[in-house]
Amino acid sequence: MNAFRFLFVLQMWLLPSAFEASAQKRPNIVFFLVDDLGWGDIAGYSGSTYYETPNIDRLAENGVRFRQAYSASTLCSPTRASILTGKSPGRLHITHAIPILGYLRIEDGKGTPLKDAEYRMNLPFEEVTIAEALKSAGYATASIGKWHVGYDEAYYPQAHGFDINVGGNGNGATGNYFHPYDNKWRMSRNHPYKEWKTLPDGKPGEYITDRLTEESLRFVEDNVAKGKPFFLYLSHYAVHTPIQAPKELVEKYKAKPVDSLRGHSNPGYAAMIETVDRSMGALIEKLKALGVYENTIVIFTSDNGGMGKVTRNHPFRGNKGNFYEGGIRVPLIVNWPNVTRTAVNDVPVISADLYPTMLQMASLPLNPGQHMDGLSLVRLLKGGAAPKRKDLYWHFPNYTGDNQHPNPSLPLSVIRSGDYKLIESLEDGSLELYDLKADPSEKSNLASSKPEVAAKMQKRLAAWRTASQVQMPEVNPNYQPKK
Amino acid sequence: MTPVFRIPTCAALCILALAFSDVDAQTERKLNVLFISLDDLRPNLGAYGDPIAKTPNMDRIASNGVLFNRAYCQQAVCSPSRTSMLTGLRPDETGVVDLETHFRDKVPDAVTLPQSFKNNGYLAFSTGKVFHALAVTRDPVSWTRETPSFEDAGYALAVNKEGKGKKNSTESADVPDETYADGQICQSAIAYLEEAKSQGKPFFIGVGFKKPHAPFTAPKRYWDLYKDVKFEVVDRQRPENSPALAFHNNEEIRGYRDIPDSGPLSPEKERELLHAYYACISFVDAQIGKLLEALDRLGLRENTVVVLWGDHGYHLGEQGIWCKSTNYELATRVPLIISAPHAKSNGRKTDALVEFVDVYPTLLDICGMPRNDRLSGVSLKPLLDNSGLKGSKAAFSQFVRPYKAIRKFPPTHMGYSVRTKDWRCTYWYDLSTGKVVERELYNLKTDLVEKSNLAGSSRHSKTETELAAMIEDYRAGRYSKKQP
Repeated sequence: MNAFRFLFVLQMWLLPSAFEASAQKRPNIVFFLVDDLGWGDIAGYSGSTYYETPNIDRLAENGVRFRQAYSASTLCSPTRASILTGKSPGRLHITHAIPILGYLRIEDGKGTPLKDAEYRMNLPFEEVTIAEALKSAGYATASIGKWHVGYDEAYYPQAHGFDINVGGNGNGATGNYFHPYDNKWRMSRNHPYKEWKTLPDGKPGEYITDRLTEESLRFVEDNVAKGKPFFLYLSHYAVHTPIQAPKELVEKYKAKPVDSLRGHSNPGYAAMIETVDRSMGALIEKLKALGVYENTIVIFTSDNGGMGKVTRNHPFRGNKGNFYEGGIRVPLIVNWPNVTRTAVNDVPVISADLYPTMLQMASLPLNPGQHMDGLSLVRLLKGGAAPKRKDLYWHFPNYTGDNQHPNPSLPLSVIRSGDYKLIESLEDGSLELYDLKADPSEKSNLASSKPEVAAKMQKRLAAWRTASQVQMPEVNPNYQPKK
Repeated sequence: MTPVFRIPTCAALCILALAFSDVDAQTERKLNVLFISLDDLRPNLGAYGDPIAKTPNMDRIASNGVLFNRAYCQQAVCSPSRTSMLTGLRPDETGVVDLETHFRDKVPDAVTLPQSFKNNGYLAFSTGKVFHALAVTRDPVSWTRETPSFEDAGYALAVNKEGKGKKNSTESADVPDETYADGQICQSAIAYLEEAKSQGKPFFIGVGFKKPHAPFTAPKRYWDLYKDVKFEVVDRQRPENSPALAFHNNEEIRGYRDIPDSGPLSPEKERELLHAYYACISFVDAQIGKLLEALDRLGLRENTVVVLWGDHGYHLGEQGIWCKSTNYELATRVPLIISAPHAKSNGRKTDALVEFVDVYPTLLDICGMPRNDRLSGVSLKPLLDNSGLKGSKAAFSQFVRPYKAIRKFPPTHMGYSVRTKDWRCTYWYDLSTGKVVERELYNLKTDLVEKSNLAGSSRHSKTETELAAMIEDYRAGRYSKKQP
């Protein structure tokens, strides 16, 4: 009782001054997002002897490294939408990657027992994105790089609170990572080609990661000069396919011993990872040179697990495109100078948490009606308690649906409670239950040996689906099982 | 071939022999066998007088054993040679003259060398490539247990690990020994030694190292051992008047990305291959050092016969040939060292002519095992105690044509080759007519590389006639050996 009162008084005493201080000088925020970067792709995470990420590893040493961070989805668009809104993809109905031509990936074919649930292809204007929230608090905001949460141009970054958009559109990749960044693509033989150009200006030989870094440095410089706090959403197209990187870097990795244990052996991919790491290095160097490093928060993460065709997510099972740990466990590093203590953190957290976290970091009031599926990690970052939460949830009422990814996902929902993770098939209700502490590689399905655990979790998962008003797939009347 | 070979009751004889074997010998501690092979190793070892090779550990085996300076394989390519070694039978007896045929197709009830130890209460373990490592050429019944073949550990660098198609012929990587198959094979061999020791049973452990077979991949530090050596191909001319049938088109080495599909290799590439070959030898030598260390640590050295052999010889550009698969001295002459505890001639070399088929009966003899009269070789145990004894009069090898390395190709010709003290004579038979179509005769008294084909010359016709008769006897299965 006494202790409680003391805390209360202390808070009353601390809060106003904290607000005052931050109002004078809000911290800059760099949200450094890498596309398709797996948990194991950062040497400091996996111990990879093949990939080299010295700058990112240093960031982790100075900040907090989350070892059980999750992406909201196993695909790009849903996770990105979740980061920007603080809501789960299920609640947003943005559950699948936004297709290049606006087609649903699977039409009413005969091949699947369920019809892909319809998913939104544009992030609704009603959503107050983190960029909007920060912008209205006086931040300069820039989205530099991949966007992929709006198919139509009306939904590009400027519509969602960003002052500047460099190279962001409805596509998941530029298709060509060297200038000119143009490409064409079609869904299948039955579809027309779509051709596009991303970043039409530029120099011959220019590489996309370097270009996006340069644009970011310029944005930082401009706003430091203006004395304006900034929010930089740097969303690299790397390390998404196509696997393209500067030749001399690829040669370097060709001549390097692979990491057979972890399955890290693709020289082009390793080179792309290094370009991203260099980007981080350049950014940190610039922040220091401008004297704003101490007042800048850097958040580093990915939108889903590593792509199975180019890397392995050892020791985890799975990859981008499915919901085993390899598909959704991602690196998350928060560097908040003079606030966090250097540490690793094993609290399970998820993409949506980053929205309220950034609000609080900027000393802005929380807005729980917006970031409904996220909880602030600020107290945790300061060495305090983890957010009070029983479960993490995922919902995927779709089919990953192409052959780009090994073991593509079927419609399912997932719940993680403590060390248990339950995967429920939406096709037939079958269950997979894993004890992630004892079995991080998800090798033994405990659903039949621990039916009571599975049943409880399944019930909570169903309740969450209802409360979150997720969209559900319908039965496919045209389905013809293969004989 | 001895007539006994065809007697179906030989199995019964073996059992009788076992039943009446010397009781005293059985009560003594049985000798173990550590049977170490290298793939594609010709005798480029310090102990064989090679001036470049850095092979302290293999040399150490030689200094505690008898080095056979004139040992010959029966066919200079992996599976036929290994099959002869392990069955004690010649290629025409096993029916194995290519890389895919299994000897049990022709001799289903053969008892192999490790199998005979296994049948006599030994633990018989195999790791690496002892039998030829294709799934269809392995022989699980020969062993108590065998490990998988470490296929994934051929390369370390991404340039060779990634993607499809041809890989490089060499690789130098700054990695631990265990990144490559031979380092892993060594580890598993040591684990077998420890297991056998803890079980307290006698053992026969086959350790089949995969180098210096191409691709020549080894940790960088073994390349560095030779960084100051100036490598050059020597004796690159085909022997004068040699028949085209005796050669092949270097198909094996052309299977690598950095080797042209036709035409000569660049001098730089040749030097690199030579350097790489030696690096691989020293790499395996270091693994053998670890094995010997383990033998000492486990207190097994005094009670273990160590056999070191390479499955056939090799051409390093000599006579215009890369790799093996010829009937020439370079391809047929092999390293063979037998280190039996307390043998009187340990530390000596012998020039006695011996063959791989002799190793099986020798090991039975040394270890006091029952004789096996089906075998085509003879025990070399007398040479281990008296290296000055005369060996056999001849050693035989053979090879098919055409031969295209990896791909199976129906042979049209067979070359039979006999080596005597000073001569090598090879007759090439058309397999459809049984007629001799090409003849080779070389004097190897002063030079171990064939330079000039003397077949048909009147000056040497007596020698040729004698040798041709020996070949004809061998080919007809009328040849039988005498104990040295």
